[in-house]
Amino acid sequence: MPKILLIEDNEMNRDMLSRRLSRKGYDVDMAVDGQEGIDKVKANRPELILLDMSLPVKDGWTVAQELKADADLGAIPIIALTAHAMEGDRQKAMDAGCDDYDTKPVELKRLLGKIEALL
Amino acid sequence: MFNSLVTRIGLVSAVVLLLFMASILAFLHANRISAELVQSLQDVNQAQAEAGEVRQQLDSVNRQMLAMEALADPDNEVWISESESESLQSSLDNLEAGAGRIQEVLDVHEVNERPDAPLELLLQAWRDQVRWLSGPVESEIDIDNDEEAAREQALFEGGMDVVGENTQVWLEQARDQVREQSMQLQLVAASLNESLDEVVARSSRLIQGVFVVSLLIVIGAGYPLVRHIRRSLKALTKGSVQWSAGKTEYRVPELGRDEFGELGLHFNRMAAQIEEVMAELELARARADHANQSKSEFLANMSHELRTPMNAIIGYSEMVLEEAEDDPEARAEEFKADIGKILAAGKHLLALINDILDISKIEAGKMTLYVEPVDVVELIEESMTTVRPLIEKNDNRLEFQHDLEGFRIESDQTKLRQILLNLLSNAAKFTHEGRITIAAECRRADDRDLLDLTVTDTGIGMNEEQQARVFEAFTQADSSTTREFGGTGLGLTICKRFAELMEGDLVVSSAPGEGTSFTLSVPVRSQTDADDEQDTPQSDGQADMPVDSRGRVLVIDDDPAARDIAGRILRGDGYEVLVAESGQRGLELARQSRPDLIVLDVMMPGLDGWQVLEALKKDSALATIPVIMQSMLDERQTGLDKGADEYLTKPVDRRKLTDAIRCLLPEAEAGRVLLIAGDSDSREQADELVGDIEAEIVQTADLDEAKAMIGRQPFSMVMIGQHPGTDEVARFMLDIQRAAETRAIPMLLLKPDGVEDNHIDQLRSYLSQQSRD
Repeated sequence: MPKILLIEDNEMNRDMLSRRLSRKGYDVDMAVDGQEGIDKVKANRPELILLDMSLPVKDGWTVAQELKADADLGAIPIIALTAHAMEGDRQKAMDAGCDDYDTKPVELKRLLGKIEALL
Repeated sequence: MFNSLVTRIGLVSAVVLLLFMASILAFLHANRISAELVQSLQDVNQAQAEAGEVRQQLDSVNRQMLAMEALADPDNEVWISESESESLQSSLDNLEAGAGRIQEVLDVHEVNERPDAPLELLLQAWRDQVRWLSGPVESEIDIDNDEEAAREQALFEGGMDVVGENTQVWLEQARDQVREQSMQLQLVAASLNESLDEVVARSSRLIQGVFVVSLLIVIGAGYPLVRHIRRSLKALTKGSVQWSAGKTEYRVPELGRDEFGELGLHFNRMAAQIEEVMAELELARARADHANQSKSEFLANMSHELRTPMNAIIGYSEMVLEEAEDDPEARAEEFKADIGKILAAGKHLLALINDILDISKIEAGKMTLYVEPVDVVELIEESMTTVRPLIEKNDNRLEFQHDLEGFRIESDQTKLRQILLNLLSNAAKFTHEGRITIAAECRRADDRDLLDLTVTDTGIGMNEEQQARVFEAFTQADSSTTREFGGTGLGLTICKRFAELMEGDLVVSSAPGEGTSFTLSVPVRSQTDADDEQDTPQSDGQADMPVDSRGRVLVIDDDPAARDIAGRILRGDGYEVLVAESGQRGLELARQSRPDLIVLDVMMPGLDGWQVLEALKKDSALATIPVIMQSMLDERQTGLDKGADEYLTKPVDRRKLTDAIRCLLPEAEAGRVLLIAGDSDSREQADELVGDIEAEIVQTADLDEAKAMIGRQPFSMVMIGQHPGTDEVARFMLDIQRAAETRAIPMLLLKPDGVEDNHIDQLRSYLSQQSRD
């Protein structure tokens, strides 16, 4: 059962995405802000991270940069998620070290394809 | 006085002109003098010529005289002929005339005559000689003239020899005299010539002088003038060049106090004005840019805000579908929570859309105010009732401080309520176990009476930056607040706009951790409605709101005039009146305040009367509230079929409306007693029975009138006192018993002391009457 960490501050999005991924057979762990996300990555070593970009405490870009800078954790693939479906955001996320990018609202099939490709 | 350029130029020209005129006058004068001089010179020259002639004549006459002398021989009485004598005489006359003319000229030039005047003597001698040579002419001798006679005598006695000797001497002297005169004339001519030269020289000097002076004046006054004009024009040109280049702050230097100075001043003023206008334009442009930017931000935020609940709706719907597909056996119970979330997100989305529509309506200037008298305390208390559950959810206390009982303002009730509800629910959201206070007070500012409504909480408060942004769209004090506290983030934006629309304001004051205070200030009298002041007098505001009302009536009508009329009629009749300007609002108010009766207009935009009626009858809590429908069209049967209790056609007849309401509103609590009695004892008894209860006792002995009164207005009790017409009273009681509307009214027979029999009779009569029927 692949372990996925979902870092998302919006309760509904977190609830929906986690439940749908769980049903597809993933072990979903959750964090509500950037700092908690980093802590949980360190503690639980997920196989993939789904990262919302506009997060409280520490935003997604910072989280991505910090994780990718860590020699140990840098290998964990990160998929950036953001509501702003703009080319600039995509580039910004990739620049911050994310491995892929998806826009909200999430289209589950497409996201699952991206997750499987990275796992 | 000499500041003006025109004056200066005029003055110089005038001086030059004067100088020229003076020189012309001088020239004319000189001309006249020289002409005179020339004339004199001519005279003198002529006189000189004459002198030459005179000299020649002297010799010629002398020769003639000598010849005549030789011819004549007086001793022999040989005389010269008469013609010879005449010729000599005329020669002598000529000579004398010539000499006279010379003397005239000399006299004009004041040259003195020789005192011995030899020419005169000579001429005289010659004349005598001629006479002598002409022979004696006795008759011609004038005896009366003694002197002449004596000389004549002497002449003849002395003989001509003496005469001849003298003549030669005088001739010589006369020649000298003429020569002398000729020389004198020459001298006069020379002096005249000299004068003429002098006059000509003087006049030409004068002309030259005038020319030079004029030139000096023109140069002396003109040069600075020209220089000044040139400099001024240069300065003005420079100014215009600077301004046209956009340097509107440039100012033309001071150019003196003349026309240029004034022009420069006006130029500067114009520049100042241009600068001001440019600054205003710049400001307006900056504002427009800012507004545009805000709008873009608003749009971006809005699309984000709208997408969030949309995400939830789509996401959860998909999930519910997926789960239902995965597990066909799943029960509805399992989906309940998710569908609830979909519903909540849908509601949130709707609230957002409504708020956005409100904002765009305000921005487009299409939000209108409906101004009506608003009872401030009533409004606040209503709003408090609405938000109380929300306030109690967080264990807060709600307090209302005021001394404005019955105070009314002219304002838009709906918008005021919306603002109040928003402020109160905000306060409730951000306060836990605290206190929320509403304060209402009036103040005067800028010649306006303002009502301040302040909602203060003891909640989390805001820092300065948050306060600065609190009225902006989609900004909550903290982005996480949306998650925690909900809301669209547009409420305060709308409230602020509403307040401004009402010509008031909404301001905030707060400190983190110490709570927040929002103050809404609205004018007590609406400016836009100032003309209608007479129609909605404020003074009777308190009078028509009795403390103990006969019931609460909700009037739902989109027509302000109709609302106003119904409101007045009902208030006048002692009812508490609520008004709603739309069907939607009417339903809200009905749910909020549970009126005892509803007066409902049929034709309204949005929800119409029929829809409202349907909604009311469907709602179990509202279904029992009696409804009176009002319309222009007579659809009474339809109305009654659909559940209305009464149907009235507009225009509303006061009587019909009040009667209808009285029929539908039982007034047990009104405590009105109808006393049928003709005497005062019964009245005393009734008063005693009623005691401290504040009941109104209406007394009459006329049974027809009593019946009419019962038909017109409800009574809680009928008391029967002393009445002479026993049978009539019995029939009256029976009628009341039979009529459906009055059947419920209890009747009481009063029993005065010692008149027991009478009562028994009445009762019996009553009962027997009843049994017969």
